[in-house]
Amino acid sequence: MSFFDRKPVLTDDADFVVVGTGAGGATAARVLSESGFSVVMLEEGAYLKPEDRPRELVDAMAVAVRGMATLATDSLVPMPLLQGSCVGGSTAINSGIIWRMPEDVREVWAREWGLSGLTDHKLDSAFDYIEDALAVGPTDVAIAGGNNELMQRAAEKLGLPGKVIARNAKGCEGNQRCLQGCPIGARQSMEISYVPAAMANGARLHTRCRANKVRFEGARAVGVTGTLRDENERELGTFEIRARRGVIVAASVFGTPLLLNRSGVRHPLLGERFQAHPGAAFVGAFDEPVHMGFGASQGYEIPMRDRGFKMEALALPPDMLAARLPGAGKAWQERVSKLGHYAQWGCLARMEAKGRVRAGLFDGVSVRYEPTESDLAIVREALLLVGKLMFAAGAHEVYPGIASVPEIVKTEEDLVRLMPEKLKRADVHLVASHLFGTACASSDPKRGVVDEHLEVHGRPGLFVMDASIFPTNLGVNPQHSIMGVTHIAATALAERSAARQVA
Amino acid sequence: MTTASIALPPLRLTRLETFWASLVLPSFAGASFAEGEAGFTIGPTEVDYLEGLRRFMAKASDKACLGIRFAFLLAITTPMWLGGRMKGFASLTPTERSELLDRMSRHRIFFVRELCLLLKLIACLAIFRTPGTRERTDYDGPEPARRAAGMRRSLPVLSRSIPHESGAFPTGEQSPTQKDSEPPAASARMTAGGAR
Repeated sequence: MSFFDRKPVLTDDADFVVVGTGAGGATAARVLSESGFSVVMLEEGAYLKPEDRPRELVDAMAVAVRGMATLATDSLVPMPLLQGSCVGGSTAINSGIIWRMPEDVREVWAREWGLSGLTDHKLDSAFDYIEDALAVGPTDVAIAGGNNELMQRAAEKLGLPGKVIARNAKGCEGNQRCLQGCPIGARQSMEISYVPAAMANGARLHTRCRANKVRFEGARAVGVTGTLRDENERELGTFEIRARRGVIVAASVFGTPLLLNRSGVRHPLLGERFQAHPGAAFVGAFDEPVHMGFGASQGYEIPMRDRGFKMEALALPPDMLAARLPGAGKAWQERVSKLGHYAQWGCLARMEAKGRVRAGLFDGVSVRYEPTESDLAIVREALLLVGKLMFAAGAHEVYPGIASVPEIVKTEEDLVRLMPEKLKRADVHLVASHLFGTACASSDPKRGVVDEHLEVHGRPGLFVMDASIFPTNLGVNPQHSIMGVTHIAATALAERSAARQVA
Repeated sequence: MTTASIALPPLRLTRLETFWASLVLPSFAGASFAEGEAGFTIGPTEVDYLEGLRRFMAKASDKACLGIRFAFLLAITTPMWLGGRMKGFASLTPTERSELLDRMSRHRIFFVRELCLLLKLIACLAIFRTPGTRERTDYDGPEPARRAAGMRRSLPVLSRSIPHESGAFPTGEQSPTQKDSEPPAASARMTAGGAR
């Protein structure tokens, strides 16, 4: 049998095929399966049981983080882009932070993008439902840990509007292993919550399946084809899943536009309007023990949305924390021996920059994205405030990690004096973890790839339900907004499909 | 449905690059400490740096793998382009190697600094993958005692008592729908489902 004659080793069919099991895909699968439709979920990565998630970072990242967190923008000053690559998507590696979509964003989406159906009162009901389903609540002080407690004290000292982070964690023991994967399944990420719920409703999950193309009959989407792979990306065969009612693409801001493009969907905005919340962080050395190894990975934040940023406590695994400490050799080893005396707090900026995503030679994807001068000014302001917080909390040394500032700063006055008036892109190590756009939604077919029902304009039966459809970034953590918007769109889709069935 | 397993391919480096890696990676933590000196020490053969590197490169992006190879080339030639001496990296003392890597990590050119950081991260991943190293750093603190105390703790620096009754930090709630930079009311508390 020749390459071109080979038959798929996996075939299946269902009312709906969902590509991707992150916040969007898992929500769509759960809602549709609860409405009585048969659903097949396809996931490129593996399913990781909580007890199988390694504590050691290199092993944990190998199975759960795309490209070991080395996927980066195409630039002389590349910016790493963080994404999950297992069942649960990025919800399987995030800190479970839950924020409702801010009112100002909802207004803009409704007014400028014609998306009032996704942002009206139904969104509040969806948030209520999701918060109950994910046991959302404030971080308990008992498991807050020193990194969060110190930031709270600093915020109170400086009179900043800090708040305890609301998270989707149930029975969190403060293992500080959100990034590696919660070993007790406390964080209600999608592989713990929504994916099993969908499977309990009869949905089927196929893992290590990379979708290559959406199949069409005429303009209508009728299925998905792709390849089965082993853990080392070796191809094992092909699959073909037939969809009787629709295909839902939720393959992330990178995977979604590339899959649509490979499938022949053409739109000038496909892959465009890529947006993010890039961030940077300071490490502070304290006389008091902080013991970052215990506590919620992220339990305290200071939102400053009117200034375009938010600050967060962000505990690091020991490997990353040690790598972040300045120096090499004896001085560095002395610092590492006191690894329990450091705190790390960072900032995320709601940047105005817009980039684009294309198929690329390296790693299959090429991302162009450059922060503007105004974005960097926001980062500068935020980092300066992070430094002030650290000194207010009693840090005796702060390690800014900014090229034009000394590696070790000992006073707030020095920090203010040494911080450049204008931050250059190459001065600061930015990482982006909240990613948006690339298949944005609008009721106007000229302004959006998908419509207000999240159906691709001119392609009946093909839907996009992930952060790709966001016409703007949010300024807050996106998981809840992705789930809320998907909940509404999937519920409406189920109602329309049920009505058609009756008719 | 398949679950995860870590069966990784061999190290994607030439023999020469592997030799460079075996010289460079241990040099971040190559210093030894005298009796009584406080410092994180690693036994000469305690950490398998190449295994850490293999695991990292097996899953890293193609671009990153290329960067790692270039980073080793840069690091191994630091005696010439950074130290100004016609000497090989292998002929330097551990202290000299560390000094050069330290200077590389502070270099004015972004990609030189970033590549050095990448090597340092790989070294740290290998170090903390080794049993017993994490425990020598005080990173976790006295966990068993904390558990015994019913998981209630506060830092010595936080002398003020924290009310536990509400199961929340004693701070002001700010709902995402609230105007964001307004200071919260002093008496406000987060409630269950506090993001509402």
